[in-house]
Amino acid sequence: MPNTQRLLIQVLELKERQQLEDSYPRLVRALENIRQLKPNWDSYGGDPPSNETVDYAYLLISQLQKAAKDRGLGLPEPEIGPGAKGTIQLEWDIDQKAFELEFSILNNQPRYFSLVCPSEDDSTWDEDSFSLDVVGHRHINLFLSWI
Amino acid sequence: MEQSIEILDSDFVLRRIYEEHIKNDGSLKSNSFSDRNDTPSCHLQRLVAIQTIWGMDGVVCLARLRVGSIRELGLDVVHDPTPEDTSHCLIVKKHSCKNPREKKIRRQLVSISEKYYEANSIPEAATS
Repeated sequence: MPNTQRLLIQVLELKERQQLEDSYPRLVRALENIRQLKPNWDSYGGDPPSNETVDYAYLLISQLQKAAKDRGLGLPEPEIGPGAKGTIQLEWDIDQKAFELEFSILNNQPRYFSLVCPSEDDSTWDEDSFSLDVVGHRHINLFLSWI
Repeated sequence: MEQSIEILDSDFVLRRIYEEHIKNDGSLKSNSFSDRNDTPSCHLQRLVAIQTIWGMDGVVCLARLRVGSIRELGLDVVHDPTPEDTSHCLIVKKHSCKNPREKKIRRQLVSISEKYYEANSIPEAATS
């Protein structure tokens, strides 16, 4: 992960966190519940997300909210949930389209990041993995164009 | 070692669902089928005592899937009995794929899942 991004995670302002709590209280509660998960949380051997991954989720949602606001939009509240590999998944279903971001961070390094942006036409499923520093451009713009 | 059995299209499998898998509107998130090895575990319904699954800590719901529907997605269900669970099965890909679309697969599994919030509401499994 680039140093700048790591720094961003570390200095996520209390004010921004408070803004997220005001905007998405259910989501913040869910994130803090995820932070408390133990190994084998799903009884299928699932790994709990690391604290860094939970912190990154706050940052990512905050950045998405700002990006949407810059376009005069509101960011719909995502569904949020842990994955079995220590990931966190953000999920939006909008007008029969879906957008998912899944990520995990361990020792300040991204482990996994993928998304899927299907439209109603099943042939257009788009799924890939990225390093965290390149997220935000094509796919995020596509997502923001939906909302 | 337990002997594997043939799994029929008409069979049903059950996947344990936890609070973290359920959306605000009660539908399933795609992480319901997230698995460390990308081979989600499930129970073959005709070999499992439903009450045993419901008795596990934190289980809030069971997802029930028809094996034939899983196979129509290009997946398969294989019997993988363990000493603790003779009903244990894995949902696997039929053919090796260099870049499987795991998230698409998970969403498709959600789309063919029936949800049951009470043990006695689950239809009985057909016996072969």
